[in-house]
Amino acid sequence: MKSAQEDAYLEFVAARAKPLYRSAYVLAAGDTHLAEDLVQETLSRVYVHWNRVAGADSPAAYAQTVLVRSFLSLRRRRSTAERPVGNMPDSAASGPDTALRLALLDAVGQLPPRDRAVLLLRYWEDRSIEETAQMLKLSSSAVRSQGTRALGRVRALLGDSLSDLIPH
Amino acid sequence: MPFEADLAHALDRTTDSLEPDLTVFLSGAVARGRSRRRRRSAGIVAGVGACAVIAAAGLLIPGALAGTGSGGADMEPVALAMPRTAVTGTQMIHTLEQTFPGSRFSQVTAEGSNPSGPPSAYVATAELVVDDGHGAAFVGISAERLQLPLKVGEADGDGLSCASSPDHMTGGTCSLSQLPSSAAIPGGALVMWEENAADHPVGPVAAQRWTMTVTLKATGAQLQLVEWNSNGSMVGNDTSEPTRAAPPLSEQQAVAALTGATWAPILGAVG
Repeated sequence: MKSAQEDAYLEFVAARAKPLYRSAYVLAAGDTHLAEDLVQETLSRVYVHWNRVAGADSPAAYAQTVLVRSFLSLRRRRSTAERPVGNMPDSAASGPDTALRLALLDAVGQLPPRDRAVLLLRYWEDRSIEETAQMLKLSSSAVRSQGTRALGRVRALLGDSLSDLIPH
Repeated sequence: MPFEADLAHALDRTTDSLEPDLTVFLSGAVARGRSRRRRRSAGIVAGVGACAVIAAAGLLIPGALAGTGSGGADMEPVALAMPRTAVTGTQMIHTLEQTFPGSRFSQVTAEGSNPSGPPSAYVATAELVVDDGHGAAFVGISAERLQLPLKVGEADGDGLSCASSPDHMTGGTCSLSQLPSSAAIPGGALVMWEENAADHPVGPVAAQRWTMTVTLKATGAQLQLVEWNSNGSMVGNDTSEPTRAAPPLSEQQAVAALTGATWAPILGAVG
């Protein structure tokens, strides 16, 4: 990679590493090791294809797609279940939002991986149904169905307690 | 505040304080990336050392980290109607396999519908990899019933308007047509056929996906068949490379299949 390209890549990483990590952290239901691995994997793939990524309409969206697909691919390969959130090595283990974080990640962790991805893309990142369908290789009706199901499950698990847990 | 807005806010709060170690990310990412490049094209070595990359990154970090999570989408109005009767996952698989006679199948999954469940249970789906001798292709189908009257040209992702077709402006194609009423499809049907790149940005060997959506105007029963010219696995950043040039079913074959005898029982059960 030429120096100018490397600089552009570095700028991209500096700008996008945190958003990617936040998404990875949610997908991994709080498993920081898995989240870090996913982000490294994503950034390495972006590095390999940097010329193409840099010319894309939205390099950030491209990286986000890589992240989500890497997560789903990894989940298919892994037979081991995730460790429970309570046992996570977690640098953000304490603080005013601890109860919220534990409850939320526990609920997200109970979703199947693809439902988790749909929830993230549709209800956190505001992706359209079509965008989400393309990113996850699903039909639009499957996205609607899984999104509604995922939201329903999280709502059933958290119920009214969610708003109570959010510090105001 | 609606639940989905609370959820988005909660996700923001939960991840706001995360401060990833950019040095770790970069060292790992660059090392992995270079390794991949070497495997892909022997002899190509990146120009700048990883240590220099990491050092430079340190200069870029302050103030450069942007947040994510824009507050959550409102839950889309689900334009689904209750299916007339349940369709099982086994029915979906069996019917999908019958659509590709003489083929071999793998990675088969399905989910049935449940009319007495919540709207999210109204959709029956099946997915598999079909090998018809021309290359493995990932295929998925869903069966559902839209609310009447059909909102032609308005709905988001309902297969009723090319306006919602992705990358419509970047080389993808979409066409919407109508089938006249017949014994097989009383009242006629709306037919939407799309061809899109499977990934963006489009690479030199990008896989394609083809989507055929058939919606019966009289009942709202809808089948949506999505075909890829790859086995559908996710190889790194992209869909795996194309295994074939064309989808297993052409536009004409797909519409014939979905409106023919094979899928008639499913359409009848849905609508």
